[in-house]
Formats: sequence, structure tokens, C-alpha cells
Amino acid sequence: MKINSLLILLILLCSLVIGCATGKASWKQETVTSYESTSIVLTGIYNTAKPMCDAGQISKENCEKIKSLYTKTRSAIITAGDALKIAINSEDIFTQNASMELFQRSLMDVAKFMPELMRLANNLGIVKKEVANAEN
Amino acid sequence: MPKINAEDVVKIVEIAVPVIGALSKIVSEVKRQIENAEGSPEDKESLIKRIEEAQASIPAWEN
Repeated sequence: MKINSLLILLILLCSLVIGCATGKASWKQETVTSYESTSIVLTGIYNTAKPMCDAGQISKENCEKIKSLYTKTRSAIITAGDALKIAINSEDIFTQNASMELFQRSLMDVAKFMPELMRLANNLGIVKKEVANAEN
Repeated sequence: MPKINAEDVVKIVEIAVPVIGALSKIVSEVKRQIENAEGSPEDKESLIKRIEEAQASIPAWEN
């Protein structure tokens, strides 16, 4: 009984230790995954908003607004991706730091435009339509 | 409070020592593999490819 309890305790302890060791994803992998998620959100907005604008379901004025915000956000995300590629590829710590600074600055631009874009997309019914498209 | 006699202690030690030894080897091996994977060129290439694919998936808004 005592030996069984000790074995259970040992198994639990070891599972925890192995879990900690294997659960450590590198910052590079985590950052790339976040980057991919952001690009998926932006592409989703485009895939719904553009056909709605082309079909005249959104006014010209609002289409221009959403196009402008989308283009700014896209540009910031592309720049962030370029900086991230250099940071991942670089062995030199100075280049890596400079690239990560550019990456963070670009992300701040994304963080500035993205909520505005999402708000507009929501107000214009783009998000609702996007959800409906995903369900079909 | 149950009493533990010398025989029990010997049994516990006999079981615990090889188990701990084997597990510490497993943990070291897992850590070594993670460290290798993080810095390997294959890993860098795959991450860069993922970024490029994400970039390419965002279309430019053209009239």
C-alpha cells in the first residue's frame, strides 16, 4: 500500500517534470503562430469585405475607409513579418535585437489599425457575413 | 500513524532509485532534443516558410 502510494507520487512528479520540459515552446514558434493567426483574421476580413464592396452592398465611402485601414494593417503586418524573418535567421545578437525592435514597432501599428478595422467591419455587417460564410 | 519498518524502507529505495534514474535520463534527452530543435537550420527554415506563407496569404486590395 505504502509502496503503491510512493509509486503514484513518483509518477505524478515525473509527469510534471516531463511536462515542463516538453511544454516549453520556443519564443520563435509562439511568435510565428501568433503572426499566422493575425494574418488569418485580416485575410478573413478582406475575403468578405471586398466582394461586398464589389457588389455595392457597402457604400463607396465606407469601402474607401475599410480599404484604407486594411491596406495600412496589411502593410504593417508584412513589415513585421520581414523583420521577424531576419530575427529568426540571424545569428548576430545585434541584428536580432534591431529586427525585433522593428517587429515590435510594426506590431504597434497593427495594434493601432486592427481594432479600428474590426470595429468598422463589425458596424458594416462584414463580421456577421464572415461568420455566416464560415458556417456555410 | 502507520509505522515504517526497515524492510519497507529497503523496498521503497529499491523501487525509487532505478525509477528516478530512468526518468532523469528521459528528461535530459527530451531537453536535449528541444534545444537542438530550437536552433536547427531545419527549424528556422520551416518558421521562415510559415511567415512567408502567412504574408502571401494576405491579398493586396486592388480595384
